[in-house]
Amino acid sequence: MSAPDLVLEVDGLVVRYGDGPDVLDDLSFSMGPREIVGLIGASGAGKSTLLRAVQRLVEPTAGSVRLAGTELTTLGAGGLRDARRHMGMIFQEHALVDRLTVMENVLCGALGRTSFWRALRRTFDPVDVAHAFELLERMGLSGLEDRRCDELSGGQRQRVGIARALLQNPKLLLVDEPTASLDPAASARIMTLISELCVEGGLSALINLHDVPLARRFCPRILALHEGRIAFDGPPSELTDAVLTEVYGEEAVEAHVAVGRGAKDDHGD
Amino acid sequence: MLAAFYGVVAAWTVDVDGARIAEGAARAADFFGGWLRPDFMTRWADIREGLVESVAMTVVATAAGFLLSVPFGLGASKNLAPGPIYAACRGALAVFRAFHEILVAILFVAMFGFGGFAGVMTLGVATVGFLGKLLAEAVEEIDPGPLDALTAAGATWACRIMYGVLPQVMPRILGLTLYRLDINFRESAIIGLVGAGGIGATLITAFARYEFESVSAILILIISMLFGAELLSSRLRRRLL
Amino acid sequence: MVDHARAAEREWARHTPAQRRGRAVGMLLAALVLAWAWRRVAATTNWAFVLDAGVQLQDMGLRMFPPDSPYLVQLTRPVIDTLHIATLGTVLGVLMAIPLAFLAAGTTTPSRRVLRPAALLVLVTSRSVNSIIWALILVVLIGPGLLAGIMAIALRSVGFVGKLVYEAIEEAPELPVTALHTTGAGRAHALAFGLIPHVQPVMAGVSVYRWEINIREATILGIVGAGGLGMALQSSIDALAWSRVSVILGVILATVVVAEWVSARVRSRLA
Repeated sequence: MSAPDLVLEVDGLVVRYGDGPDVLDDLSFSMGPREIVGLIGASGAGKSTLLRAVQRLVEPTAGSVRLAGTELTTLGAGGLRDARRHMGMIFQEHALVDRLTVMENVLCGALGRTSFWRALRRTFDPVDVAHAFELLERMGLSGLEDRRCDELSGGQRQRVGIARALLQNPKLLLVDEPTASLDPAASARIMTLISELCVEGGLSALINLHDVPLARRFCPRILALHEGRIAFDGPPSELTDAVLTEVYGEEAVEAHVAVGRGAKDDHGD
Repeated sequence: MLAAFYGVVAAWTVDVDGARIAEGAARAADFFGGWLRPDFMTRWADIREGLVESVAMTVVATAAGFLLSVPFGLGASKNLAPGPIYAACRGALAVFRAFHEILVAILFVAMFGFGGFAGVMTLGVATVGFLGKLLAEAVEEIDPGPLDALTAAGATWACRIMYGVLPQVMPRILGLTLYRLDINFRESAIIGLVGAGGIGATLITAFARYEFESVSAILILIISMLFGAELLSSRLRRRLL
Repeated sequence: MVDHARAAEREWARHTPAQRRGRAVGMLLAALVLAWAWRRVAATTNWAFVLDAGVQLQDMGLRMFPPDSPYLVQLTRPVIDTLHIATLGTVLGVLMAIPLAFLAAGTTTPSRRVLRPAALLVLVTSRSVNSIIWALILVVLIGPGLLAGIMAIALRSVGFVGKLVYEAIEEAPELPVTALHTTGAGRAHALAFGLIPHVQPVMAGVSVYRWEINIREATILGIVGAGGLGMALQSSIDALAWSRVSVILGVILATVVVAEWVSARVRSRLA
């Protein structure tokens, strides 16, 4: 059933590379507005591939992906560009243009609606510029707008990437492993930030996480992938050890459960 | 061992004509005498014209070559260009580089007539081949992350190249262009030998007239200008990086 | 919270006004130089010739094909000659370059004030003068033929090989040489065992690379009389025997391609 206010509908999605096995095998799920979904699973289960397939950075082999009612898999180049503007992607490795300044990188989020000549001469729409300043302030990066990105710390670069995605005014955020190289305190901080931003902006988010306790803590809904299929779709409270064993295997679950117990005792941030 | 054997056989088969060398010795005295007395004045008008033409040819060819190398170079990059375009551009660049500049100059002189235009075409083609190939290699080595991010943000193809590819490769390409400017000036001195304009034409005329004083003057000028050009370009390149 | 009024007023520009002025001036200068250069070239251009270039090309194409295949046999000697010119020239050039490189390198030169600048000067001069010009000079001095070609190639190669080798010498670590000194080895020994093994691969690689370039240059030196394929080319052009010209061009291309392949194989073996 396709409700008109669903942000993302994935139906029977299959992704296969050449003659290899299916990386994603008949995936179906949907996301409504203001939904934050944590995507968990073992490495190689297909989490990153799912995010990239929604963006069509990786082409789906079969199935359908609908963004706010628009079918993405059949769009031509122009339509795809328009659709992508409504999806903000935050990359694991930040994917910033090192030689350019922070402001230029953030304004990349507005490139979808800026003409080539304005982009060339760096004369962006003042509304976009003002919005960029607001976002930088919100990220705690004020005053850094003219610094080159390769002069920033990892945490700062990540926040520039987040600002860039938000400048698009997207409906949906696709977040790929935001806490990959962060310590637990920094991980919690970044997840708090992302949650707050989603609430403030009324966005939905699909967040790829390797840290299960973190996913449980911040995501009201969890999607677990196992070998390209959905092994679990529901609230964290229903995420039992049995499910985790299926998804991650036994020893990993012991480790996760141990960390999970530790995290639940940690009220600080 | 094999090399030594080859050396002996080869040297033996080479015609070393003693008498000719003796004759040459006399001419050598003449020549070196001329070398020691470089004459800049007698043929100054010709020399000046030749140098000016060489400089002009170098500037136009390098500028045009740089501009044209961008589409060819981008088109010859495996990570950017679709199959047929990639093959066509790679092929074109290989053709541009295949033949020695002198041969290309001969062809263009036959097509366009004597003078600087043929020279510009020759140097331009060589520049596109040189820069285009290096640009393609640089583009194939870029970090794909920023480009993916721009695609995911819905930017048009042109903006993606401008923000995601060029900032990563431009500094190197600009440095190489300055280096090519140097090379082009050097070559402009010799393509004139076959009629494609520049100081080379002045040189060969002086040679043909056995005016060795002028020849040495011209060679001294060429060498000093190349010294200066190399100094300038290496300093500029250091500033850029 | 964020002050929207204040934020809305903030402007951003990639460059400061001073930088923008500087860039504008720079671009204007570049445009002026380019405009001057173009006008200078256009002034001596015969536009009628330019416009009918296509016709000329077509004409030449018709005359060049079909190529005069039987002529191929007559090219065996010139090809061998070209090979000799390139190979012997490279060997000679490398032999001269190596001592010069040691004199030119700051770390090994016996005399920084006199010999080093002199060696550097010799290397730069050799690099600045193209092999064709060397060939021109030599043909006048010792007459046309292979020897002129060999010497021309050698003279050009000295600078190329010498520069790369002396840079390698300067970049080589000092420690091995110093260490050997402390064991009582004489200067020559220290160099031989401490430095040469480090620099040898560079010497070999650069020499092979220069050989490959020299093949390319040797194919056309004959145009000024220094032997090899170039002479066959020049005489065919003079005789307007275009169908032979296409054969020679094919042979030149093939020779260069084979040389490049050989050079790549040898260099990857060396690495």
